[in-house]
Amino acid sequence: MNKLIIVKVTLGFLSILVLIVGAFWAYLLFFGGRVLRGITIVIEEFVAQSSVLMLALCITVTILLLKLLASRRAKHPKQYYTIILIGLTISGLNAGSLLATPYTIINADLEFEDAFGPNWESSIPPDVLNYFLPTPYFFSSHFLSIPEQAINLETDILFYEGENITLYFDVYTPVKPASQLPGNGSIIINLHPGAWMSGGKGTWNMISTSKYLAGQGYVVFDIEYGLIDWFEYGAEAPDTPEYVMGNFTIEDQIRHIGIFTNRCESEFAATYGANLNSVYFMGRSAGAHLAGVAGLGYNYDYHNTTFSSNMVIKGVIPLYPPSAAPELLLKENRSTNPDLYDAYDLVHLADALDPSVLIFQGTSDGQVRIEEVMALETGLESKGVDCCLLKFPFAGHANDFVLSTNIGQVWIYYLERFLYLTQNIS
Amino acid sequence: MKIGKKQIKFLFTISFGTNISSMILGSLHYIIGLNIVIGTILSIAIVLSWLLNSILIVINDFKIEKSNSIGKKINRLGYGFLGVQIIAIFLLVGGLFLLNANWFSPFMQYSLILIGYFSFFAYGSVFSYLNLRVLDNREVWKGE
Repeated sequence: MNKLIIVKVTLGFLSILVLIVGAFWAYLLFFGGRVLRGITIVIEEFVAQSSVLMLALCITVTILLLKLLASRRAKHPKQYYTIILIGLTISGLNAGSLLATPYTIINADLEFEDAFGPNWESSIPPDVLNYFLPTPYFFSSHFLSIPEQAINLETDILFYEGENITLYFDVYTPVKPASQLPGNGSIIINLHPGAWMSGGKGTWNMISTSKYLAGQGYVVFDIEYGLIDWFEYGAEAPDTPEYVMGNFTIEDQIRHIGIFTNRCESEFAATYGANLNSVYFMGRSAGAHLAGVAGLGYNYDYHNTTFSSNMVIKGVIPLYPPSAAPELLLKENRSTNPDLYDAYDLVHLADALDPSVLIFQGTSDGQVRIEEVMALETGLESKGVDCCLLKFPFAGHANDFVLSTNIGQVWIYYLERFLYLTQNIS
Repeated sequence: MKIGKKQIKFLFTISFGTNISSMILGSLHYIIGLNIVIGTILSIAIVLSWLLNSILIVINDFKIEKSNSIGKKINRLGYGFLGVQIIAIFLLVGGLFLLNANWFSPFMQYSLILIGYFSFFAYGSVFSYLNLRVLDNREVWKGE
């Protein structure tokens, strides 16, 4: 066999391999990792965010296969055209998330109309709109990213030492005076994902989003909390620092967040020019549950002394949130202490005085199911809480990692508007 | 459907134009920031360039005389273009994902994105230009 044939066979083999991966990508896009479980739960987190590029890759290798098989076109047209059909079908399936973008936008608009009235868009002044994304999705930004604003970042600032752990935070602040920006120095307390037992601030708590919001005039505190060292979970988050691990429960984690709010009130707000009269809790996955407990439980008797009493909570932003704590992660189970369980159940914590809630959820999420989150939205609304659920078809868990995708852009478009609208609600 | 020389010339010219536009407007994206007019035109230009580049490679495969030395070169350039596309896709995926990580410097992150993006359109414009140049060479094209 001469060299050219070897190269052609290798290229053909690799192209077929890419199409097989493309087919697997499409499968996860539609069904998430909930059926196959195992490692697919983790892979699912990257699928929808890279599906547009997978679409391009599949079309490219289909064309490559056509070139490689050009000599068979006349003699074996069926083989030739079958490959085109298979390649284009796999490519087309990977376009699902992109093609669903208009639906995502229409649904998000309806959610905002329900929460803020039919004229919600016109209540944002034009000079503020200049700072926002002009449209929910630009195909061009998908590849070129969203241009970044200048921000300040300080990392690893200690806020708690005790119980054999040390807790730090990173803070993202605007370079421009916050009063000239839409955020006006509002505080966003950002809680990382990781199933209450792993993960950390920084990379896995979506740096791009924190940077973007700081550029809008928000003071973003990306904080750590004590993690449960005795709990095991199949899809644990990477980069977990050893110094936050301990024999904790979710009650302890909320207590750590409470400690941060008190230090923020007494010290950090002044240091970073943050506005205590406008505070948001934002979190992802387990962090979303904790953000929900903090934001909705702020005025709940059980958590009465946990948080600073001098902060005004303006909103809660849980992304792919579990609606309640797993019983085994609390000090007592539900049957022995129902009050304890209720104090960590988001719907139970909710009341008409609670701030508005903006939820991010992918429909193919294999870890937190869309049905659970839709029930959470219904439960919150039944308690009188304004709640917007942004549903992202084909998106899985943690699909806001890349800010510039069709998912990330739509999310940021509505997030920045939600933050602005809720700041002015008293 | 038969595609004549006129149609091919038209496709190559449009492809050349959209590839160049994608590069110019892509630069403006970073220089002036997000803008509804530039963003919309650039989005259309990217889709058109990518589609036309793909069509161009397929047309080449059907129409080019591979036994001719120039035809052979064009055919190999087509393979090269597909290779550049694949590398560009991986660079873009890498760059966009790493943009959210604190493991690399912003220079490294944006380098991946910029190399991925501009290499694709630069190759696309050169490839369509070369095709335009040899379009009148009867020996390069089948059935001429």
